[in-house]
Order: sequence, then structure tokens, then C-alpha cells
Amino acid sequence: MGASGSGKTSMRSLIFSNNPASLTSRLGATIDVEQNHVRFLGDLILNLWDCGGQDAFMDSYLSTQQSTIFSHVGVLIYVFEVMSQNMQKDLEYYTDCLKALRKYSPEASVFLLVHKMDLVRAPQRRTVLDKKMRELKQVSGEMAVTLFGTSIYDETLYKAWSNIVHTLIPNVSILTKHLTTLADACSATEVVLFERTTFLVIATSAPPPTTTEPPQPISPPTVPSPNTSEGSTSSHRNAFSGSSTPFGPTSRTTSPPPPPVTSPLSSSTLDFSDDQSVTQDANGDPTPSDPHQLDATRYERTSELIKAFKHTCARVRDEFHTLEMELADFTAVLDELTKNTYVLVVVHNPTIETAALRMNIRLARKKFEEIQGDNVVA
Amino acid sequence: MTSEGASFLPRIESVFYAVFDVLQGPKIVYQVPEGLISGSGSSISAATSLPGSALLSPSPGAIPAKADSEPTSSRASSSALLSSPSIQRIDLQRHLHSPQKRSESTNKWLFNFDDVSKYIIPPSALCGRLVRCATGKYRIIGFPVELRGKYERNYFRYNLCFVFARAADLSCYEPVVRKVTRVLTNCEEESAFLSRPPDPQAMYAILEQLYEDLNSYSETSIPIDKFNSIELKIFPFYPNPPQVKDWMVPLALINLTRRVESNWDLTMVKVCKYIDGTNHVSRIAALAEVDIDFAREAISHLLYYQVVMMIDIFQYSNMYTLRKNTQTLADEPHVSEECGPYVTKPGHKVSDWPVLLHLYSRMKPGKTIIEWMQEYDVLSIGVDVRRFTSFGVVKGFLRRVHRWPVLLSPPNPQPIPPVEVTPVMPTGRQRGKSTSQQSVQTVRVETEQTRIRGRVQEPMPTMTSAGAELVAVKPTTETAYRPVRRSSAAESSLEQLQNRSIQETNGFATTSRITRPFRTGSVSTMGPPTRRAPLDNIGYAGMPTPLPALSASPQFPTLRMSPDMGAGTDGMESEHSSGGRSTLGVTRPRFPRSPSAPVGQLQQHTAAVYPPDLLTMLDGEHNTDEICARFSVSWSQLERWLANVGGEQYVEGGGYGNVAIIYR
Repeated sequence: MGASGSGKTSMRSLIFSNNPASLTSRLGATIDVEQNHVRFLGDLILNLWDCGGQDAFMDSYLSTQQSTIFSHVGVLIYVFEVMSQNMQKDLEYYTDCLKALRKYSPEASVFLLVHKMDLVRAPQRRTVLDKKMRELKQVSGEMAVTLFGTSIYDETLYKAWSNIVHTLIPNVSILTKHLTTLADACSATEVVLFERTTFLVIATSAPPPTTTEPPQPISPPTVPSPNTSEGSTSSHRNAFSGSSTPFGPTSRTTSPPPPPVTSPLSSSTLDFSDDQSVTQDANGDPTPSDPHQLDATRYERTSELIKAFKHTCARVRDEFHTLEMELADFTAVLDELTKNTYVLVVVHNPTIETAALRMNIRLARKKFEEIQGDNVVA
Repeated sequence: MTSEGASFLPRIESVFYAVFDVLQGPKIVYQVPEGLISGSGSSISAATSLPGSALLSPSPGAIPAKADSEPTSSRASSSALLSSPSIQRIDLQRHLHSPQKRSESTNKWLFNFDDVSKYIIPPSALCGRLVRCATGKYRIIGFPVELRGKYERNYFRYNLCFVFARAADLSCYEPVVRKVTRVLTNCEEESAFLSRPPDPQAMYAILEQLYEDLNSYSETSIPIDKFNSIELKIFPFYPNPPQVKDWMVPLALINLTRRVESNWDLTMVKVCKYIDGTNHVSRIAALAEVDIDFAREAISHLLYYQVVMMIDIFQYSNMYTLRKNTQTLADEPHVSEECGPYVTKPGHKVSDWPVLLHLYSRMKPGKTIIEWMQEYDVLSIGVDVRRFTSFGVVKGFLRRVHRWPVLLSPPNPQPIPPVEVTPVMPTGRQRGKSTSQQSVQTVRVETEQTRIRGRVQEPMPTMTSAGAELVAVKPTTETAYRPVRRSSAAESSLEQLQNRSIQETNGFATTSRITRPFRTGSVSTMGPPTRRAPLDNIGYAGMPTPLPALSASPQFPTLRMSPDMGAGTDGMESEHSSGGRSTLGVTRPRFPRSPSAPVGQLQQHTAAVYPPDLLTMLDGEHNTDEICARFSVSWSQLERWLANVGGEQYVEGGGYGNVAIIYR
């Protein structure tokens, strides 16, 4: 929920409909409530209600439709526009919604997204967000709320949504346990489980034992290098990066390899890099050069990059299947695990073959299908 | 009778214009009359200012007066009107129904806008479609529009809705709603008329005019800008009329001849002259000298506007029965009081309703009118039987019982022994003057059947195509039959014997039927039939005196017929059989339809045979009226054919042996 024009539908279109951010400007206003059923993890279905934010709609949500709207709510996501003109009214509706929520679904968790952060210039973001946070926390009173600053133009949105989804998945701990087992079996640094359509992070393996090796200095982002095509038709390796590390996606799709991979990926990478005050590995993958220094935003970055990559694949009428990377510093395999999840295995040991990882993934498949089946029962 | 309920125009209770506001959501921008719809931001203030008065002023008092004065002026002024019958219809209906208009002023609000807003400004899937929704006592019809363009949120959504009473039939408003929206959408696309109106009151003025004009005049013309205007006219929606059959009799429900205007279709003008409640369609076509297809078309137009209704040809062989609703209708004054004066012949005392009702109640399936008349001595009380039955049919408590012959099993091949030919030949040659007849006779194995059919058909050609078709077909079917017939000499002689016996019985049966030949002509040349002679001997010479208003035509043929009738049936017979066409040009169409039996030699010959096509029609789907019209024969002729097909005379309840008769 949230005021009209705050970006609810855009957000939904980005995460659940795989539309690029540039297309959100074409969306129309939402009439009343638009319901989405998102199949998430086997038979776990997220029922997503996108509520139009016009006054007339808000009034009816809070009056006649109150019991319909606020019953059986798992998560309330309330979107605020960071540059809102009419914060007073927003807050009034917000407190009313909170009241209704407490009445009909006291168990529901509340997420507040301070959206359109890209409208604030980068240096001030932190302070603006902090100010908003304090304001909103105060309004929320004793209600426990989780707050994110988001923008559809960078990975912050994925971070917020991964967190939101996380609260909805019943037994994350079991998944984590099994992922850790898988990570051990592969001698992997980290194993991450993604949802297939949204590419939101579902679970990760337990963090590897920390070491004290100091992080290596990282070169600033460079202009993406042009295609360094190796001439192979089946395995097309592009060098593209926002950092010094080459990152070659191998599209194991059917014929022709996607040629224009470079541009969208790298451009989004650049956006990102500009935003970050501390320049990190732009790939979002575990930093290859310093295995023990993992970027905090790596999951969201991966989500965003893979989504962009999928988009590129779609543009050349190809479907995304698998991604394998063998680089000097690390090896990463992104493969289908179950029919609606993808798993990313990142290994720093250069002697481990991707085929071996894929074999392991295939062997793990059955177990994870079972766990998902259990999920349904649970 | 024509109570489809679709024929009057429902009153518009309210017109409103709603948009989707990017901040406020769906809202009513303007509504006429103001303050009738609650829950929308704009109407709250208006609602406080005397909601009743706004509604009351244009309703009951004002509108009937306008409707009264309107018809003449509108008809005279507007030259673009397509067909006058429709206009008159509208005027009539408007006039009739306007006093019944209800004033809803007691209700402060019609409904709450928020309850229905999702149907007024619906999601995209419903945009560009006619959307109707009902709430409380009202029904809203609108055509939501979603326009993509350079708007703040990419889309502009609006809807111009009409509100009616819930029970109203809105079919006639559907095109109106579509058109208003179409024009407004054009205006918006051309000049952003809706999203950035040049004059904020323009839309209100449009709504106001729509409301006033459509309610009062059923038409309006609203100029919007230099290029666009809303031109509306409400046409009442009538369902498509049932198919017009040649044997149906149109009965005028209004005085058609008075309505005729110079700009009417010429065929329609001709046809209207002969609609008198006794002429059936094919006869009207013949009398009016128009193509039968055009006549059917013209009458179905009249049916469409519900100014005529179709009844059956009146025959004394018809059967009728009461409907269930007699119980209620018998107590209705419009039935009980009108019946007597309508059905009594001039110069007789008007019978009491209970007497008449008793007569009605004695009509039942299986009992023909003539039998009923004899049994209850209907003539003696001076009742015009044709008017008596049509009154019941028009009022809806009496219905015709049709005979539906069904062939139970295929008949034996028709016996056509060559021996039989010789004695009949002379008569055949004597009569057969037509070329077809001659050519058929040159065939060596001549059959009784062919000749007789040929002769029977002979008078037909002026009538319908059916007869001609039959004649043309005949030689080929004959030759096709020949081998089959010749296959067994023994069989044929056996059948010949059977056939002869049938003929004898037929001859007997039909001569007994001569005792009551009847005509539906005018009584004018005949004098009162009751005085003439006992019914059994003379024949009942068409008693109904047509309504003065409707009568013009029927005398015309009967005048020529009268000598024949006076001379008895023999005269007619010879006339037909001689094939003298010149003098009979006008009367001929009457012949096949007349139930008066062709008598004497004719029936002896026709007795044994029937057209082969007849068998295909005996499947229970064609009633005898239809079959008679198809072969252009009278019922008594058909009766004989059926007896031949079935192999037996008519038995009460059992039909004709192999041919069962279903009364329905």
C-alpha cells in the first residue's frame, strides 16, 4: 500500500513481471486492488495485493473493505515516496492502515519502503533516509517495522524484497542447513538459493569461517571492455565488467549466443558503482581476490544482474538456462536446482571443475525437491 | 399478445460523468440532476441544496404535455427521419407510458457512488465495453473508456453513465450510450476536450441536455465543438418478428390505412389496403398484385412494429381450444364487455357474456367449427363465427388447434393399372387443355394420378410457385416410377382392386361432405344464410361481415364469385375444370383456399391419388395449413389425400389408418 504514484506497481512489475526499470514509466494507475498470485517455491503461493493509492480507494480500504483488505495479511508493505509532497496525508493513511492491520492481522509484519531514493543525490541519501526512518518509526509507535530505502534503478529493491520474502518462507533454517551441506560437498565458499522467476534470494549457506586476511585494494570501476569474443559459437564469452574482474557469462542456451550481453549488464553495473560510496566488486559475486571479504550487497547485485541478463536473453529470443564462469580467481556455477529455484555455487579453489559442481547440483536436486515437498505439508 | 415488454422507452433517472482522478481516484465530476448520487466528492455539496426540486420539475407534469404536442411538430420538421411507422410508434408509446412515470423524489440518493465505482471506472479489461450494473433500485449503463496518451499517469479514464430504474429494459439505450462515448472520445483525442476542457461548464451542459432531451423528445442534437456534435435518436428496440407464412392472416391492430403517408414504401401501401383480418398473405399478394416475397416482407415489417398480428385463416374446418388464461381473462371487463358487441352480427341481439363464454368453452381439439356450430346452433343467436374466433385469438384466451399429420409407415406403392386408364381418358382429354396435360397423355402408360394432378394444378399457376413446381416435376417422377410399378402384374391388379374400393368409399365420403361446402366470402350478395336454407343442403355461404373499417376489399372478388355460388358447386367445378382462366383471373386465388369441396367427377378422380411430395411432409413437423398452402389445395382435398395415403377414412382419435393426426 501507499500513496498514489509512490511506485507500488512499478516495483511489482520489476520484481514479479521481469520488466526493466525503464518500462515502468508506461504503467497506468492501479484501479482498486490488483491481485497477483506468485508461485514461489513449489506450492507456496504468494498472494500479492497491489492496492491503488488514490484517496477514494484508500478511503474504501479503510472503511467498507477494511475486513477484506486487512484480513489474513502476512506482510504489509507500505511504500513512501522519499520526496513526497504531502507527507502529512501519507502518514495519516499509514497510521489508519496500521490500526486496521493490528485489528485484523496482528501477526503480520510490516515493511516500510522509502522509495524513489534515486531522486535524492547520492551523498545525501544516508541522511535523508535516516531522517525518514526516525520519522516513520515514531509514527509507527510500538509496532515493529522494518525499513528500507529503495529505488527501482539499483539493487536496493532486491535487498528489500529478499528480506520481505524471507519472512514468508516457513523453514529457511532447514534450507540453510542443506545448502551448507552442499557447500561443504563442493568445497564452495558460498551457496545461494534463488527463486526462479523473481531471482530473489531464498536462502544461503551458512557463512564460511572467517579469516583475518586483509582485503586487497580494489581498482576503481572501468569502462566496460568490448566483447572479447573468442570465436567459439557454443560457448560465448564476453568480458564485461564495472571492475577489474572480467565476468564471463556462458549462456548455455540453444544456438545463437546472445551478442549484446555486454551493454545492459555493464550499464547497470556502472550505475551501481556510482552509487556506492565504497567501491566494491561490481559483480556482486564473492570478491574473487579476497575470498573472505564478501560484499554485503552481493545477493541483491546478483539478483539484479541475472535479471538484466535474462532480459537480454529474452531480447534475442533465447531462454536463460545456466551460467558457468571459470575465472582466474573463482569459479561460479548458476544452475537450476528445483523447478522453481536456481542455485549459485561459488568456489575459490581453481582446481575444481564446473562439471563437478554441476554434478553435485544435480545430485542434490532430489533432496531439495523433497524439502520443498515437505514445505508444502508444513 | 406482443408483450415482450421491450417496446417502450425507459426514463433516464440521472446522467453523470465520472473520471479517474490520479490523486482522488474515481469520482463523479458532473451529474444531472444534481445531488442524486452520494459518496462522490462533487455531489456532496449539491446534495444539500434541495435534492427533490431538481428532480421533480422535469418529471410527471411536464413530460406528457410535451409528448402530446411533440408528434406533429417533430414529424413535420425533421426530414431525416427514416420511416414514419417507427416515429408514430415512438410517439404512441411515449404518449401511452408517460403518465406512468414514477417520481423518485422521495429518495434522497439514488445510490452510493463508491459502491459501484469499480464498475464505473473499471480495470482496463472492461474498458471499451458496454458495462451495466445494478445497485439498489437502479441500473447504471455506461461505456468506460481508457485513453492512452500524454497524461499524468499515461491514461485518461472516463465514463458517461445513464441511470435507469432497475427493471428497465435498456436495449434501446445501448447504441445511444455507445455513440455519446464515441463522440466524446473523438473530442478528447482531437482537442483534449475532456482532460483539459475549454469551458468547465461545457460538460455539465451536455449532460443536462442529454437528460432533458432524451427524456422528453427521445432525440437530441448537441454541438460540442466546430467538428463534433452528438446527434441522438432513440429507437425502441423490438425483437425480430416471427417468420411470415403464406397462409397466415394479418390482422391490423391500428387503423393502418389512416396511417399511410405519401413517402411510404409503395408495396407497403398496396399491401396495407388488403389487410382486413380475413385475407391471408398469399391472397394479399395476389390482390395487391405484388410479389409474394415483397408481401411477406412488408407484413413482417408491420409485425416488427407490432401494428399487426397474425392469425389463422378462418375455415369451418378449423379447431380451437381455450387457453389456461381464460380463467383470469373471463373476468376482465375488456374481454367480457367487448366480446358481445364485437361478435354479434348487425341486427341481432347482443348475447350475454356467460352465453358466449359457454360457447367458447365448448370448442375443443377434434371438434371443427362447423360441428361446433351445428351442435350448439350458433347461427341462431346471431354470432359471427369468424369474429367470434378471432376475438378469442386476439385477446389471447383462444388458440387454434392445428392438425399435424404423421405417416406411421411408408405406404404401398401406388396402384396405377393401365386398364384403369381407358374409361377415364375422355374426361381427361376433354378437360386437359394445358400443354403439360397433353404431353403427359402421350405417355403410353398414362396414369390416373398424373392427369388428375395435372388438372388439379391447372388453376394454380397464378397462385404460387408451389403448384407450378409440382406440375413441372411430375413427368420425371412418373417415368421414374414406371419400372417399379410394372414389376408385378399380380400385385398391381390386387392393388387396383383395393384402390377401387377405396375410391368408392371416398366417393361416398366426399359426397356426404358436399352437404356442407362453405365459403368465407362476403355475405352481401347472399342474404342472411340462416334464412336461405337448412345448413345441410345449401352450404353455408360465408357469413362474416367484415368490419366497416377493414372491409373495402373482400367484396370485390366475391361479387364475381356469386353466380357460381348461387348455382351451387357444380358451376364452380365446371369452371375450374374447363380451365377457363380469363374470367376467373381474380377469383382463382380463392379457389385453393376455399374449403368448399370440389365435387362430382373431380373428386372421384382425385380420390385415389396424392402428390408424392406429400409423403415427405407427413413427418409431424408440418401442419395441415402449411401442407394446404404448399400444394395449394383446400383442406377437404388434403383430407382425401390423407385418406388415400393412410388407406382408411378418418376415425375419431385414430386418424386415417396409416396416417395419424396429432391435434396441437
